[in-house]
Parts: sequence; structure tokens; C-alpha cells
Amino acid sequence: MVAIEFRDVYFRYNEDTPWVLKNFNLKIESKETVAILGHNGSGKSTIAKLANGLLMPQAGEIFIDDRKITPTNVWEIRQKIGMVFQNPENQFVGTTVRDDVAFGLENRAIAREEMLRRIQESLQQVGMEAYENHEPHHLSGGQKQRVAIASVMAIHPQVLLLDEATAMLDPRGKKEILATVLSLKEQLAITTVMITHDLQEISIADRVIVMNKGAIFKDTTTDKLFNSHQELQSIGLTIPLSVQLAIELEQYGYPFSTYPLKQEELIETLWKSHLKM
Amino acid sequence: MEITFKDVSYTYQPNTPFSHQALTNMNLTIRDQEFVAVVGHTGSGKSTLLQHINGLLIPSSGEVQIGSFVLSKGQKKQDLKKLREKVGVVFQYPEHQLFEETVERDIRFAMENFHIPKEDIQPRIMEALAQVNLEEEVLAKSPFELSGGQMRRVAIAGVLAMKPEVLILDEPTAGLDPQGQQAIMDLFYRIHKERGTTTILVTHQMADALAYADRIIVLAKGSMLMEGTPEQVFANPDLLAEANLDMPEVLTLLNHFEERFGIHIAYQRQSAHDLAKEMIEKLRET
Ligand SMILES: Nc1ncnc2c1ncn2[C@@H]1O[C@H](COP(=O)(O)OP(=O)(O)O)[C@@H](O)[C@H]1O
Ligand SMILES: Nc1ncnc2c1ncn2[C@@H]1O[C@H](COP(=O)(O)OP(=O)(O)O)[C@@H](O)[C@H]1O
Ligand SMILES: [Mg+2]
Ligand SMILES: [Mg+2]
Repeated sequence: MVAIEFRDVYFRYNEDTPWVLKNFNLKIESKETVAILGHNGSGKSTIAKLANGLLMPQAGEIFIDDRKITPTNVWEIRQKIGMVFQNPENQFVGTTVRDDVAFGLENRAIAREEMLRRIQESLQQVGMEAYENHEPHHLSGGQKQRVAIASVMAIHPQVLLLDEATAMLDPRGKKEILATVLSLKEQLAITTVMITHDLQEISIADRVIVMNKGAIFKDTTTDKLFNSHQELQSIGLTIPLSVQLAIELEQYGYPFSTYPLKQEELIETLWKSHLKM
Repeated sequence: MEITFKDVSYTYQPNTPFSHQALTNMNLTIRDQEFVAVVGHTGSGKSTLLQHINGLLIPSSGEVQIGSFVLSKGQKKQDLKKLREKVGVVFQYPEHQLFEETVERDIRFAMENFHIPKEDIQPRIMEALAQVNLEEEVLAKSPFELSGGQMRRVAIAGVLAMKPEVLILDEPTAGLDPQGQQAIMDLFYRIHKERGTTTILVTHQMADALAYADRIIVLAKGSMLMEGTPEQVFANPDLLAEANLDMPEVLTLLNHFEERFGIHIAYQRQSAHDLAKEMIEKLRET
């Protein structure tokens, strides 16, 4: 099954401004974990907002779970695709964590018992069950984003889409979200799309899509991503230190079959080559 | 300007049920023209510390001295405007404080407020704009038509146009893409070098603290846990872990290298190119 599909999509914010997406095509299969990266302004958030019907394309079609998004079914579509945004402060409506998770459910007229069950369930999924009665604005950034994820998970979406959800968090917050996403991935058969600049988040994805100026620049797997490091640098992406070193070490005759995202990998490959010399 | 904290403590909302002591007995000297990084977990008191340097907060006890300004509770009211003219602050998410109709008016605002001579204003706007790498065309635009990265640059240009002697940077690159982060850190470093600006940077990125700072101050729960040169601070991984901080990537990598090969390489801000060369040379010696 296809979780998200963009077919020949055109989108611009105003008639007198250039197309942000022009004849854009993208297919994400169900249960895939996909990272989308690219410089600021490359169109990542626009894709996210089109995927859940916050924006409508001027031409082309978008399908979620094989259903085409139309102005009349946007509400149902949003039940299938849950989004978490960058700023944890902007995502709260309730005065307690429980109210906040309940909000999206109440809006969907879900029976009270089922609602209570789902609140429990989704808070457990993100490890925030102990905070049910806390006020959201007293939580740390990472905890706030976990509650935002719980609110989305309570709707039982097929797709979880995180738009730079960790960009405003400190290192501990980032780790919390990464662990949460990994655990959701293990517990549930959910499609996960992470828009991110963070290497650790990229490294848990099966597939990496690199955006440049509104177009897909690279569509590849995580381990092959940096094989095209020169091209990536040319569009302004930074190359991680372990990859930079691997590229340099190759010049001295130490081969790398894939460029390592992890330092341990770099050192182990170097060690093995060294033993053979 | 030299900055000194003498036994500074600060309590938010004292004598209320919400009273919270955010700084405890802080003693600290930042030398003129020094580049200091302040690191620590969220809530450790970094922003509270910074806000004492431009008089936004006055110590609950103790005293802060910035050049010839002395801030303490007993002190009679002073002209903080003079201080703030010299101490530029880039707050967290400074673009949230843009409010004028055009970029130009936003950059101009502080200068007019501080009575910078009229004839100086336009050249300073152009200079600041060039420093943050924005095109002249943006001047007439509304800040809200710009991308997040561009808005950040506008906010920074407004601070730089004041030509402060002290620059206070509270997580200035948070939320930007990696290239944008690099560009902004390079800019602050260049200004620090060219103008001798005393610079105090709050960051979660240990790589930036390592690359730019003369000295690092580690805060934990409102107190100073550790301070020293980057070399000294990062030689203490256990204490860092206690403060919930990571080691910079390049140092963990060199540690892994040493564990595996038994070869020590001292980090002296080498490029990846030079590090690789050094690794190979030392491997070939063995
Ligand atoms: N609300 C908007 N109005 C007009 N232009 C916009 C708006 N949002 C984004 N844009 C423009 O669309 C392009 C893509 O932006 P966006 O999808 O937000 O990129 P990214 O998420 O990759 O940083 C950029 O050129 C941006 O300036
Ligand atoms: N206006 C305020 N009122 C009460 N407590 C505050 C206020 N601002 C900050 N605090 C508390 O003071 C402590 C230090 O905060 P802050 O200096 O912002 O830390 P940091 O910048 O290191 O994240 C935190 O526990 C924070 O919750
Ligand atoms: Mg975006
Ligand atoms: Mg802070």
C-alpha cells in the first residue's frame, strides 16, 4: 500500500510568486521510515502541509493511503496523517496534558470510554503517562514534543510526520524524541516521515530524500547517502565529520565501501584495513 | 569591556510560592575581548546569567560589574540605557521580536532609540546588512515575508548596527539549517576578531564551544560546575556527563581512535584533511 503519493503536483503560495513545487512526484510506501532533508526554503514544510491538506495544490493530485485528498475529505485525511511541528510552544490547547491529548479526540466525537483508553495508551507510547495532570507549559521542550506526538498518536494515524520536531530542543530533548520515534516504530506498524537536519534521526530512516529548490535531488538509502558527497556539498549540505575523514583517508589507500555515519564504523573499517597492510 | 560577577545570586519571584533560585553564588570574570561559551542543560541558569550583563536582571544579592557600570540591589538607579548601548544581545529566537513594517525600520529602530547621529545610520544599516549577507532588496520588505533564516539575520543585523563592545548570544543558531548555523557562527567570530568584541555565547553545540571559545563555563542548577579552556573542560567527560552534556564529536572520534590504535592525537583545531593526514602518518610509524 502507498502511504503518501504526490502525482505531478504544482504548488505556489501566490499567483505572482514562483512555483515552490513544480511537477513534483513522490511515493512513500506504507511502513517506511523516511527522512527528508534539504536547506531552508527547499520546500520540505510545503510538502508536509500539502500532505495533510493544510494547503491544496494548484495542479496535480495527492493521495494518502490510496485516497485522493479533496476539499471535502480533508478532515478524514487528517485522521490518517498526524503532524508534529517545530515549535513546542505553539502546539498546546489544553490546560493539562490529558486535556491536550483529549482535544483532538473530542473534536472527532469519540466516545468517552474509548477516549480515556486512547489517552492512556498514547501517553504510554511516548512515556508520558506519569504527567497526565501536569500543565503542558511546565514541561521541558522534549516532554512537550512527546505530548504533541501523543496527541497525534491518539487519533490512530497511519502516518506520523515530524517537521523539524527536534530543531528547537536541547540535546537531551532530541534524544527523547529519537527514542520515542524508534519505540513507536517497533510497537506499531506506522509510516514515519521525519523532516530533519539531524544526522542521528537520518540514521534511523530506511530511506533518505534530499530536497533542493523544490525538487527531489536525491532519493536513496541512509548508508548510500554520502556516496554523492560532492553533489550534496554543492547544494549546501554539511558532511558529517566521520564521512569527511573517510573521504580523506581514502586518498591514502584506505577504502570505504560505504561512508560511515557512525564514528565506531569509521574506526573499525580503518582498523580492518590497517591489519591487512 | 571586562565583566565581573561577585557572589551573584538571583531568585525569580521571591517571597511567593513560585520563588525559584536560578543562580547561586556566581563568581566569574570575563576579560576584555574574551570569547566565552556558557554551556549547561536547559534550566541550568544560562539565560538568567546573560540577562545580568545588560541589566535586564539585577542580582538579588551580590554584584555585577560591566566596565564602569556596577549593578547591585543596593545601587541607586543608573542610566541603563548607556549600558545597553554597549552591550548587544541576540536573544533566543530573536526574529520573534521583529515588529516593524519593513526590514529597514527594524534595523534602524535601536539606532534611533539610542540617538546614533542621523548621518551614521544609513551607512551602518548597509554595513550590517552586508555582514549578515543579506541583499539590499530585503530592506523594503516586511520581515514576515522572509524565511526563518533571513529573519534571524535581520534581527542580528539590528544588533550589529549598534556596534556593541559586548555581544551576548543566547543560542543564536538554534533552529537553523546546518549551513545557516555555520554562516552565523563564522560571522560572530569574525566580528569578535575584527572589532575585539567581548563575546559570550550560550550554546548546546559543544563543537561550537570547542571551535570558538577561549574559555568555557559549565553551569548546572544555577552554579558553576566547571570552567576552563576547551581543552581543560573536555578533559573531564565524567563531570560533563553529570551536567548532561555531550563531548564534541571530534574529540570522541579521537578517543575512539586512541582506544583502537593506542595512538594519541591532540586536537588543535585541525581540519578533517589535516586530521586524516596526522592519523596516517602516525599509523605508518607503528
Ligand atoms: N506562507 C508562505 N507564503 C509565501 N511563501 C512561503 C510561505 N511559506 C513558505 N514560503 C516559501 O516557499 C518556499 C519553500 O518553503 P518551505 O516549504 O517552508 O521550505 P523548508 O521547510 O524546506 O524550509 C520558500 O521559498 C519559502 O520562502
Ligand atoms: N521568569 C521566571 N520566573 C520563574 N522562574 C524562571 C523564570 N525564568 C526562568 N526561570 C527558571 O529559572 C531556571 C533557569 O532558567 P534559565 O536561566 O532560563 O535557564 P537556561 O537558559 O539555562 O535554560 C529554570 O528553572 C527556569 O524555570
Ligand atoms: Mg520547514
Ligand atoms: Mg535559555
